[in-house]
Amino acid sequence: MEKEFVVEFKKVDLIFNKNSKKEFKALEALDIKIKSGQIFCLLGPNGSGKTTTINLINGLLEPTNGDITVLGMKPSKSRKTVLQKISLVPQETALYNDLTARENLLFHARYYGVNRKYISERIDEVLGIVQLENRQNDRVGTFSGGMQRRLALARALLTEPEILLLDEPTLGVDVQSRNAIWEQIRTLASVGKTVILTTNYMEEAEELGEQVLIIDKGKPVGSGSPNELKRHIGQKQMIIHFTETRYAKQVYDDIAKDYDVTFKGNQLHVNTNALNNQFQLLQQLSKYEEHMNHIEYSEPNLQDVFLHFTGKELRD
Amino acid sequence: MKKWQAILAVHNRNMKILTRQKQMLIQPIIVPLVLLFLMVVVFGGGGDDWPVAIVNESNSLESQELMEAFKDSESNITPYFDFIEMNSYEAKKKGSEGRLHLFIKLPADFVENKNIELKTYNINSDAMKNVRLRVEHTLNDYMEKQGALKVTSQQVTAQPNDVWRSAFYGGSSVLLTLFLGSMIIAANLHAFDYENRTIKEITLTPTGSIMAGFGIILTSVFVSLILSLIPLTLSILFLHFDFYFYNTLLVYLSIVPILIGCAGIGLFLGAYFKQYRVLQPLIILIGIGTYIIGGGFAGVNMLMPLAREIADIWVFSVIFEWFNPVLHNFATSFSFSQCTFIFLAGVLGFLLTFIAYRFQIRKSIFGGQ
Amino acid sequence: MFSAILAIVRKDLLLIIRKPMFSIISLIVPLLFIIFYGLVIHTSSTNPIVIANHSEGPYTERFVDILQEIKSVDGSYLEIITLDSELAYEKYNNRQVDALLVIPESFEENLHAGKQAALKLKVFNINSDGTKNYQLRIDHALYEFHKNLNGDSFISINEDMTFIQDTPMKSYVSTGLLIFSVLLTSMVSTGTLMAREWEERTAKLIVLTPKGFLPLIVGKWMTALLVTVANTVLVLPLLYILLGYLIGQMNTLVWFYLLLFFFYGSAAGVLLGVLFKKTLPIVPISIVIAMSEFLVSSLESYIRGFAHGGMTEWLWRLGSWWPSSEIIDRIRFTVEDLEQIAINWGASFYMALWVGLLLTIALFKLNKQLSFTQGQ
Repeated sequence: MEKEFVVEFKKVDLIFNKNSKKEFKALEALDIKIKSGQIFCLLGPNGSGKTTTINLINGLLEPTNGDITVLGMKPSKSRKTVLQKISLVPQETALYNDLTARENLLFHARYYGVNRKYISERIDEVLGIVQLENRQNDRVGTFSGGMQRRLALARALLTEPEILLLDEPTLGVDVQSRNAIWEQIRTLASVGKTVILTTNYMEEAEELGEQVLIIDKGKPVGSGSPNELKRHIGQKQMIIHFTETRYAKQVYDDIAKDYDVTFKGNQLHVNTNALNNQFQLLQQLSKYEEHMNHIEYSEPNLQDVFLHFTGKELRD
Repeated sequence: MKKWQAILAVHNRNMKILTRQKQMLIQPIIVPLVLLFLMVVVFGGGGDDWPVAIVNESNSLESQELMEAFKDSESNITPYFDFIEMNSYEAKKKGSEGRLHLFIKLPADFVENKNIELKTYNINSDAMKNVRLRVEHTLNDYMEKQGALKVTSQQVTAQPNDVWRSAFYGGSSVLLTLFLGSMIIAANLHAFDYENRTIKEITLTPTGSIMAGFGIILTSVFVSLILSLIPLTLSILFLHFDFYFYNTLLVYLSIVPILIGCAGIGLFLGAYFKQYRVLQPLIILIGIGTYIIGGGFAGVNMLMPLAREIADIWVFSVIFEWFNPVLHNFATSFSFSQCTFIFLAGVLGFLLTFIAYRFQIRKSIFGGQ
Repeated sequence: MFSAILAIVRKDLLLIIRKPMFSIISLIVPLLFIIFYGLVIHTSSTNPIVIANHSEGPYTERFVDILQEIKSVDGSYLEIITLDSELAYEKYNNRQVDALLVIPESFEENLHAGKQAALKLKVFNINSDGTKNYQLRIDHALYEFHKNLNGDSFISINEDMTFIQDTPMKSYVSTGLLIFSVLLTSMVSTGTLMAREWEERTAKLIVLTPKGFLPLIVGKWMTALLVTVANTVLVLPLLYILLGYLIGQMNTLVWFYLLLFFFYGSAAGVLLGVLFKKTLPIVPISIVIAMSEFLVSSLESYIRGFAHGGMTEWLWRLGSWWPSSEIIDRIRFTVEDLEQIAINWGASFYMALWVGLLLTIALFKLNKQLSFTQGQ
């Protein structure tokens, strides 16, 4: 732990309308530690408090209890200084549809106070990063969702922030654009930017997150790298597919006493974590070869992790 | 039979939309009522009595008689003066502060000099016209009584009683609710279909979209007839509006084709502009403009020459010019040419519905939605 | 700070140019209002009439001359459409005019012989206002006619006026219309410019720049000022042409007062924008506010004289308590050259206080909203 934490939450509670009938705990006992240059992923279902967390980092909200430091400062106290070093790409992209891509960037750079001399240069540069140079003079209203997100990302980069906050960066975006955005995020992290993103897509967290925090109903329910999380719940399994259910049953009766196995239709699921000698099992199975279709191995994915932590009830 | 069923189905749906989306009904109710309220408050919905101060410093029979003349001076509906102040000191004070426009003094030497003194707060010509001409009117009356007036004028009115200004505004407000209502409701309902993207569903029914148009016309006319009962009731209760049952019935029956025409125009505008935010100000402007220069505020005959010429071209002015006299019992029937025009307005309404939906279908097919 | 303000102004102007429909509508509405008002205001000064003159001779001539000459500072009292008796009857009977004055054949003879002559005034009395106006005008003509007859028993009038001359109703109202358009334009443009940042969901990002929202508000005010100036440039010639408003008399003080009204409108616009965050309700609410200012504040010095009892008195008291009415009268007196009046510090200060209050509420509301942006 040589690197300092750029963002740190210590036992943060956030309560709206405290001591009134409408009291609502938005966040509870949240601990976050984000290292410089890391891609940190906040994963959670709708309404779990992801955007609220983002708003705490940029100082729009103040915690009810606990401490928040961003780059060594309290964002609610030194908001202006903090805002100079972080950039947000909000969910709603916040672009002017009737302005061109370039005009949008120009406005933001001017309003933000980017040095006049470098504005044009910077704009060319960020447009290059998100590969929108060809469309810079088209109105944003004509852009696809993915292009708008990329442009919003470019706008966030204009001010050369140390920390990038991305709120659901690939919501409603097609596969190509999503891959492009992921690629751009990885590049940014590789040049030392800290990226904090919220998402409710498992693959996104799995693909990008060096550190993942799962929150649900305002509470942290699990954290770690994707692998650590998987390991935490994870069992590896061998799945044996039979031609007919009756053969599966037959084998099940045969091996159930020796192995951790479950019978599921024409499949048998064998827990391989507890398996000492796979070959012994395979040998036993070989006599049923003519009734077997194939064997596959499965690792737990983040979806299992996610459902494990957050349950299966529907969120609205 | 099927077609009637479709029209009624659309009508029923429209009625549900209107009762749930209350903002669609607010404009045709509020605009005429606000206009009516403002006209009554600002342009004097009460009578013709003007608050003044009057003091008689002459102890003479003549001055007494003139005082009586001031008291008796009246228009066809009310007295001309309302004596707020009779104390000389207070009268002077209120006169110079502008709390009263006029202070009339019959001086001590009134008999010898045959002269009265006025102190005016002449803030503008309109106030001064009102007070000065009232005084002269009274002096004429007085001199006539004294046998000193060489020329007299006798007023002969078309009907025995004047229609109160407030009642005239009230009648206009009823007519405004009727035609503005049917136009804006039709436009709103059409825009509702557009904004909620239900237009495609309607277009694709086998009975065809035109039946939806007729349904909208039915709803618009029906609802505006009902809404107009609000200003009608208020006028009867508070604004000296004389209610003639036969005349009102005649107005309500014969205005229906014009309302169909207005609903057709509303549909057409709805098809063309599509969005509430453009449609609503546009139609309200048509309504208020017609009210002001088309005979709602005052009969077209009373307007300046330029306004009269505009009103002659602006066909909507017939709504006020033809129906107000019937409403106030100055006419009890329509001429043949008026009937023809009214009939054609109804035909135009249906024609515009066809055009509006033609236009609509072509647009939505090419629009790719 | 300055570059941030400029960035907002540039962006908003660009957006206005790209989608001009809404701005055009908001520019046109006050113009139309003025045109409508200009077209009907004559109704109170000049009334159209036809005259069927069956008489001939010096008395008749003099009387007809008087009918043609009587006027107020706004113009002739009567618009005599025809003096041809046949045409007069035809027009009256066809309802092309609401009043017919009949001068009988006996008019001249009777007057010559020292006998009483009688006129007949026929009126289509569908509106008591019209009936009264015709009656009073003919009475005025008769009073003027008798003045010249030098009768012993003629009662004359001595009038002591508060102001050296009557302010024509047209220009009296013009000042109110000018204020109406300044208020409406500044309120609608500031309000919608603010609300648009929420409608396009860009407000949050602006707040998240280190500059905060102060440059945002100032920028919106500058854009709104440009729009309001453009509107005033269109309104003034219209007032001059349609209502004879003496725009040449507008001095620095008048412009200062107009600026004060701009600030008032803009502050109200900011508040409306922050409160509603939608364009749609802002327009009708602004119209209601500007209309009330026009009807209650700008007409206060007129209403004062007849607001005795009822709703009218209540409205008047409301208007007299408001700083606008005082300031509008100052503008009026300056333009009419009635009094040379120095700046009215009391009313201006009161108005500035009001602007400050509106802005404070808006800022408070903005700050409060920031801490409730959950889930957005």
